[in-house]
Amino acid sequence: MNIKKVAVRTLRYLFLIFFVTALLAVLYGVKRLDRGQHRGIFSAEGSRL
Amino acid sequence: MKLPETLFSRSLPAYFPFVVYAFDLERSLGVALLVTTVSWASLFLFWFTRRLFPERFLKGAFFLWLLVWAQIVRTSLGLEPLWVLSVFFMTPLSFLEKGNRAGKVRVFSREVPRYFLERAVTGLGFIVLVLVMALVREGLEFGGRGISFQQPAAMFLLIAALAVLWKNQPFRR
Amino acid sequence: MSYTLIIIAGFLFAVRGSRQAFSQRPVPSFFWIWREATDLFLTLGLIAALFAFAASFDSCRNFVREYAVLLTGLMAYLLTRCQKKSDFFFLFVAVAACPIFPGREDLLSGLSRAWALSAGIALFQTGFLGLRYKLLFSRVPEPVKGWPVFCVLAAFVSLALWGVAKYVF
Repeated sequence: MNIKKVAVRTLRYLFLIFFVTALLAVLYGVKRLDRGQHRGIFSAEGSRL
Repeated sequence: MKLPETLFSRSLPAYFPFVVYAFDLERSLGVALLVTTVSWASLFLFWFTRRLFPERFLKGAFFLWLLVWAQIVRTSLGLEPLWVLSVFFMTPLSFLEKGNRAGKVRVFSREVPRYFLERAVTGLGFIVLVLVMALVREGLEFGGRGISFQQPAAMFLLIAALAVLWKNQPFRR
Repeated sequence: MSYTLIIIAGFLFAVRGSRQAFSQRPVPSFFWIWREATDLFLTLGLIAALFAFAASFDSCRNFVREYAVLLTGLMAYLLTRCQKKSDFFFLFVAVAACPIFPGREDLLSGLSRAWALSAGIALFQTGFLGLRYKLLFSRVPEPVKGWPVFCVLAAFVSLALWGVAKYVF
């Protein structure tokens, strides 16, 4: 198997893992910052949901 | 500057979740800004990093990005995630698909600045559409004494009127 | 279940629910519309059941409710990819699950909302796409072809269904 192809594919998968981890880290960070402060400016009041 | 061809065909389906939200002018504008910002950020991020993702998971990564933003906005602002549908309609996804012609365009092609400018104009056009619809709706409602927009039929007729005006612009004919 | 959500969802499914472009694909059959609605109900129902199952454990109830959007989205992605549904179908299931299943009601009321949504979407599409098919054989004036006439059709179908909705939903 072509070493270069394997290396490129491995790097791409590593980048994907990094991307997913970064997203989840942002989500967790926002959750910690927002702890208890439920502003709800866009709460369902008045909407047709 | 000539308006992009897809401005109306992308903005109009993206407006329909706002019919469900039925927010007042300020909140509608806030959500429109959110939709446009996330759409621009998504396009910018995924255009320049698409070669870094494995091809079969590129679209999945995009949808995960959208879901995470939907979760963040719901947690911090209490907004139900229907606005993600607006982002989906606004953002051209053809370059994320395997084998698609748009996906074969080079990441730093000469067409990219013009393409991004068109997307920026589309986003601004969407904000203007939301603003116009909110103003017309509030105007026709007369503070509760005019036409009621509780029924979706009323909004559909309003959108139809707007579509007729757009289609029959005097300079286009 | 909000009537406006049902109508708007039905309209969006009619214009963007299939992988083909609205103007190019042939009118879908009655069977196809109701099969898609059944798939939608079963997908939402399965997500509701999994959600209720996860929320029944004290240790993960709060986690499941806080991250409802992300978890229902992931479940929707897996289920819709298995069924080879369109991107719009997946995204709609992911975002509609939250208003339908607020998380503090029992499974049965969640399932009845999912049923109402799916049946409403199918009824709307049946009326809308049937009328659109008839329009193909009529001479629609050029100034109102496309989005204008589709929105007018949607308005009439919505009004007609309102009478039914009050008794059924």
